[in-house]
Amino acid sequence: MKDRSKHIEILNLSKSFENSGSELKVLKNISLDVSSGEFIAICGRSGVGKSTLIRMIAGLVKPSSGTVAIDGDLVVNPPNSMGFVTQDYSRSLLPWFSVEKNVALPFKAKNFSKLEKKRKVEEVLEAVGLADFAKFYPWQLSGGMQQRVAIARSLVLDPKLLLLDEPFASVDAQIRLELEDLIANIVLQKKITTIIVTHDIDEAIYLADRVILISDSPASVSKIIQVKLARPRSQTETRSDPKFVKMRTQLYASLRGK
Amino acid sequence: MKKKVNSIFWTLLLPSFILIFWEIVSGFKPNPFFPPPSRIAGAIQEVISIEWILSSVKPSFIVLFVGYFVGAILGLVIGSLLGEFVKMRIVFLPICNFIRSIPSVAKVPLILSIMGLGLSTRISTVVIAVLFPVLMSTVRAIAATRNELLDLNRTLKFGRIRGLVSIRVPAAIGEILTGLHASVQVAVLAMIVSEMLGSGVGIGAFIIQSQSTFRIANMWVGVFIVGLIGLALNYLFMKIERKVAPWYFKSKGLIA
Ligand SMILES: Nc1ncnc2c1ncn2[C@@H]1O[C@H](COP(=O)(O)OP(=O)(O)O)[C@@H](O)[C@H]1O
Ligand SMILES: [Mg+2]
Repeated sequence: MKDRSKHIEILNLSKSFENSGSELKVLKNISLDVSSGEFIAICGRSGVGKSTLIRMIAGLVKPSSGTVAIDGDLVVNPPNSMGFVTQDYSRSLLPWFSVEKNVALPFKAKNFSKLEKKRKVEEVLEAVGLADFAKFYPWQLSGGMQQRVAIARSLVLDPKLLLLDEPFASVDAQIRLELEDLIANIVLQKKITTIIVTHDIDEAIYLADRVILISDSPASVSKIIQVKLARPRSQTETRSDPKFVKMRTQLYASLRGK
Repeated sequence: MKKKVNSIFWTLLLPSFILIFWEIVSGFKPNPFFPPPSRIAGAIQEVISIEWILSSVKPSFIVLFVGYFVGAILGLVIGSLLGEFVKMRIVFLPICNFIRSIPSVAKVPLILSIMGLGLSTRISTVVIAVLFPVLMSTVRAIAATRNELLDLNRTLKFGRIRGLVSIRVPAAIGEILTGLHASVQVAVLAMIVSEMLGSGVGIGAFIIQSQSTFRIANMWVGVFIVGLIGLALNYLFMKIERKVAPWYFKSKGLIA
């Protein structure tokens, strides 16, 4: 029954929270298939339930009903071969470890030779542009660089799936564009299936093959847009492409409620 | 260098002023319980000898260090486990809270009547005095692990013990060190109390004996030495804190 083309299969996913007796319905009947190597952006207003959704996909939150399956296996715990990056880089890094040790952390529960670990850590640090900062401590780095460390750590075990929850929301605009390109290039080159959550429509279109808009309360999928823009994309040209502008207008219209 | 000399000057300014003031006032208006600093200095010369250090200071140091070390380790280990295992916490924490609420002065007679006079009683007093506050602050620190790190732990599939040792405890090290630091005073207090209540050994006993035999200057020597031990340990701890967890203590300045 395993369907290989569907890397992730989300079926009728709903979530409510109990808040001191009252029930808060956050998500309702979300269904979505993601194929292998695809880049999906989930977009919506803040507070709509994006984090809840991506955390259910990550196996960190239990759905109230519905299922998430990865490679045909039901997700109940965080799956192997998944990288996860969140908005608060400073809160997810370990201040007592140097950059290279932070990045090597995922190896602790795995059996790899010392040499192999060293090689992988060097490789990902190189890929995120931090080769010269291996011995620094996270708190000695700027926000953008800290987020690069978190990205490197999520990539060090060669995940097949990368989940990003507003990863660029707390870095300044210029750095944000750099990090967008960094992620886009890495996942394209390594063919990693990627889901990014963002409240920024431009960012969603710029990065994704498909943008999923969720809205309302409880939230459900309100619009899906296929992004047929050539890769690799460029911050200046892609964003001024008429197709880009048109999709942007469409998404803004649906976000405002038609 | 100049900056350092400057800061030493300002640090010593007030104590020197107090000593001079004290000396002058006790010259005008002698009080047997407040001998002038010059008399205390004389007493220091009389009292302090190798023999006295071995008989009165060394036992105190042994009690303080062994007691503190054992209490701190036990508090850390048990506190970490209670921080991780919520059910165990619910069972044990009320009792720990209760024991912690009883001051050392009230516990000593109890320990004395169970264990009798001796070194082990004095050490146990310090162990118990240190154990519970360290335990409580460790539990609190571990229980407050931020969600991002709990998620990380689950994503990396570390499991509970590995997660506790390699993520939760080090993440809490700032708060844990603060708890350990605060327990130094508690340990000194417990040491003095256990020595005063009947042991006849150590600085605490020296202070009490000097007082009851009206050697007031000697009593002051004892009091000063206790103060100096506290001051030195406090300073040592500030150094350790800034060395071990610079990201936590760097922003907090040199206040303690
Ligand atoms: N653990 C939780 N318990 C109770 N309510 C929660 C919990 N997590 C999220 N919520 C609520 O669910 C809603 C959606 O939150 P979230 O998924 O973080 O939104 P977003 O990421 O889109 O900003 C919010 O109203 C939030 O308060
Ligand atoms: Mg969110």
